Amino acid sequence: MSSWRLPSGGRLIERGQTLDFAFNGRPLQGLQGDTLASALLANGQMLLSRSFKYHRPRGLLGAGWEEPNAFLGLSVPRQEPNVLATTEPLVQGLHAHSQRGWPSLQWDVMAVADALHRWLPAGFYYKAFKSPAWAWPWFERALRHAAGMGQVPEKAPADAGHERRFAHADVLVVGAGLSGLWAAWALAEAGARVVLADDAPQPGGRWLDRPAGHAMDGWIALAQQALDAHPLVRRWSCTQVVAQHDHGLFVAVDRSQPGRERIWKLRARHVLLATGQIERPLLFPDNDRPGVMLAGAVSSYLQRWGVAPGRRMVLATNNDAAWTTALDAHDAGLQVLAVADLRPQVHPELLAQAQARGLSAHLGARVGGVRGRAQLRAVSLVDSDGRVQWYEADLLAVSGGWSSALALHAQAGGANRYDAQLHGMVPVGGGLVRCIGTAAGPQDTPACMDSAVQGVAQVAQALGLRLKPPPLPQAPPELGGCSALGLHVGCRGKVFVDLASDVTLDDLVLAHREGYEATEHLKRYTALGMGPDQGRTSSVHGAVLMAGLRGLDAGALGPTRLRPPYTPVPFAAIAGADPGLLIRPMRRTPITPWHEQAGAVMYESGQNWRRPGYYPRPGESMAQAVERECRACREAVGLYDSSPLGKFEVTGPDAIALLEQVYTCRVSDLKPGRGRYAVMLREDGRVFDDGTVFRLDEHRWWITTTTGQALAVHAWLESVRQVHFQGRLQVFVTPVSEQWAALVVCGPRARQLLAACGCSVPLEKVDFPFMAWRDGQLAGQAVRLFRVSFTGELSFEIHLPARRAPALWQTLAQAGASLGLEVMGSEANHVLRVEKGFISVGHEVDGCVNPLDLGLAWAVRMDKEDFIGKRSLQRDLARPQGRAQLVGLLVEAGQPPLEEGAQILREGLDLASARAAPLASAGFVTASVWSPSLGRAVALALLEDGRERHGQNVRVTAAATKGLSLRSATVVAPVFVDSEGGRMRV
Amino acid sequence: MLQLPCPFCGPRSEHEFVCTGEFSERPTQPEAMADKAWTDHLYQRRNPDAPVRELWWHQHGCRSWLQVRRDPHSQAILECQALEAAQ
Repeated sequence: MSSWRLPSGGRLIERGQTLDFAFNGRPLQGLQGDTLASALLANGQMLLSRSFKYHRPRGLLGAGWEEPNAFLGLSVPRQEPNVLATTEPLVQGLHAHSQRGWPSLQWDVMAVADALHRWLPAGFYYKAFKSPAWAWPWFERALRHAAGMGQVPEKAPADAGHERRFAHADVLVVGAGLSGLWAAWALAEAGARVVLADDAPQPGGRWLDRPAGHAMDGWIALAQQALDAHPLVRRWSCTQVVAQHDHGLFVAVDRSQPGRERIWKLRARHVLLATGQIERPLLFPDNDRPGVMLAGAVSSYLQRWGVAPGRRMVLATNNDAAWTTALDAHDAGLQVLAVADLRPQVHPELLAQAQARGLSAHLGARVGGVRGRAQLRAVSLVDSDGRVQWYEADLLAVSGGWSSALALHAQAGGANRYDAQLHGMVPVGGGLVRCIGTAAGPQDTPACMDSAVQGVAQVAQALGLRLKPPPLPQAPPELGGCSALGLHVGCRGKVFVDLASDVTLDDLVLAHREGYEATEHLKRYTALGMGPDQGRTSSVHGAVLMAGLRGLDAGALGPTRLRPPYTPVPFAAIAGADPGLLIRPMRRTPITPWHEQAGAVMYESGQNWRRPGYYPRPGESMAQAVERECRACREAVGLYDSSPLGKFEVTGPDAIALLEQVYTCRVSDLKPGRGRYAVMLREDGRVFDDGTVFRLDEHRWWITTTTGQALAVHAWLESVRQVHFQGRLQVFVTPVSEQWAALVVCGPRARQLLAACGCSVPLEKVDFPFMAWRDGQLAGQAVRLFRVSFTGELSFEIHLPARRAPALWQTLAQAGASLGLEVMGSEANHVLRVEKGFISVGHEVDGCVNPLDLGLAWAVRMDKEDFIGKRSLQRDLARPQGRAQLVGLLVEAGQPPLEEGAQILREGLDLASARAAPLASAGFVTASVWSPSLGRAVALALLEDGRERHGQNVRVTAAATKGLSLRSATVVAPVFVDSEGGRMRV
Repeated sequence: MLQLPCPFCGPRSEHEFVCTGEFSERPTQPEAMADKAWTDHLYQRRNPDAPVRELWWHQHGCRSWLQVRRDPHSQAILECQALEAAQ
């Protein structure tokens, strides 16, 4: 219990406002402005979690997004696992709990894994627990149980109202440190629309980690004021840019209200990355104990939240910047026992400042080891002569160097390199994105501002703006020296390289020995960098260490590839304001409410359409309902809603040329009032869609397509018009699928039904033959009637403007009651068309068949000069053997239907040898139904050379309890009812 | 998400378009081609490591078919023109 709240200070907290919260059930208090981590520290709670594999006690290493340990579970104000304590703002009544440790965080049974570490190195699950093989499912379950992090909530929370917003800007500046602030200010003054995004609640970047009142505070306040008053500037705080996509598209997450994150999608013409640097820890045995903290994080806790992470501190480092932490900590009232630097010599200025405060500096000294498990108790320093000295410290601030935060730069395709001076990663200059400030490499302020000035000048030139630069912050040059880590390989004890995944130095040595030498392989074999912290404090260590093991230069291996998003984004935020069904709206016809009210079982079909499958009466099974609907259509009259059908008007003097090119049939001989069944092919001769083409008048044509292909046909027709014909034709193609409803009345009593509703059109065959259309009035509504049949019965397709359809539907349904009318769904339609052997796109038309295979040679006019697909059909005609052809299949009467998709086994093979045969299947079942008309199961199939095999027996696969079995079927012609087609021509 | 400079609608997000891939012009006389040449036209694409012409359809905009030359490395759009011959 050594961390404590300082009596004064803390830039981000409001001391007057106390907040109550709880951790593991223990009631605690924090202040407004605290993060969960700073509040826990202020209450002396150093032990926060247990590590991933070894269940070692862990506390805080960092103060922000680099933190690898403090993933806690929240139950209030929202249920969420894996919440990062260092970035979660404290709110009144918050309840958090540690996610590992059973039965408790202090006494964890799984900590035995720590003692067993020699049997649990990296990748142990590739080698251990493999035999006996039957036991693996048990092992796997146990391992998953042990390895998990956090618990998913029982039920989804109520929609919190996540927003998705869009914005455009001339320049996006990421990071509101000195460079970012100045760059945004300068570009706004020059007239650019600027968005400045920073993930902290206040601007200032790393200067927030210095004591209040220092030299830069005044300038930062001035810049903030200027930016907030400027009309061209949007300053986003608590907003982190997580992804960079092509053409300047950025995704930013506004986390000012966790649980109600807002996603911004921003298009910026230019971007300046002032993302700063990330600190690394030192490597020494047991460097993961609670109380070992990054030096920058210690400063953050002191200055931002007024919390001291310990009372007696030792600082160990290899660079100049970390000395500031020791000096500031002393000034804040901590006892700084020693400052150890790996380097044998440091700048005299640093020594002088340390001496002025009475701090003892040890040069050329490294950390030998630590004592303490759940809490740091002592630190040993080993000097260059090997002498060991122990200090009773409860806080060890470590700093192993800095690397630029390059995630966004890398996502934009920017390269990086290891800088031998900085001993860290820096961006390679140039390219689509520019890094400024410390992200560009330099550590001292004048150099940072130089890079900002350069970046701004380049952007201003690209935008054609004249700069009116605002005043630069005047800061004295800081020291930026750093040395290599000088790791002693072979020291006793666990040296942790990645705390989030429990990867130790031994694991890296193991990976190297086993040949996983590239950093990408190292990552995947050891799990280094795969934790929720994405390797922020570990990936550079891993790359440098592996390079050392391989005898290469420190910078020879780059760290692993960084991919968006930079930090975790909740799925709820991505779904935004479109949760549940809104994410993919279903399309409805104006008659859909009637279907739903009538109790139809609704299916999703075609292009997001919601359509009735069947209308079961109370107590009816699906089979019974479908049979009832089919019988009504064949014996009385049926009514169904075909409104999603694709419909197009093709208009113009050159409409014929377009249609002749697109269809296999001839259209030029159709007179106004007549139509034809028509098939559309792709260039490779495969059937693409089928439908009808009707001539409305001399220059106006009406074509229908399948529902599922309505959009594709639109694209296709426009492509033929614009690309194939290069727009030279005088023709318009207008898609009107949604503007027109299509109601189908079909069955022997169809004429009586229409007459009963009052039809102005003469309906007898002599006046209105098959495949003709008429204009007229039906039940007082202006309609078009088309005599097309998908069911094989006498059928009238009624087209009228969609908004008027419900009234007509009601009229037809009511008038049909006395005629034995049944409303039909898609299931009944399917059965009826299979009985007739009519093809359906998606079943028989699978993208691999041509119209000749389907028995549609009568619809193909090879004597036309040209049409799309003709050349490929010529090739197919020259090689007709072995093509899959449409056939019917009959099983023994009383047997259940075959399965759709079942394979027809090649002659001479049995199931066992079929596995070895390169092509065991001679075809497959495309559609299979129970036929009410025949009282038996019927099926359609594509079978090689099927037309020559009528009457033969074939064997068809069927699912069995274990594997497959075979059933016998007879090949017949693909039509089971009314093979002459007389019923629909009546 | 790319931004395509539609010649009619201005710069629009990739969402509004459908890409059908490398553009292979339809031969003027398919009947005169041998089977192999025709099959190559149907299925073979050069797929070079260089900017190629692609066909994009502005589905949720002006519904023009556009030929686009795009650099596969930088994603820069070098050219974006309508296919319809200018009237």
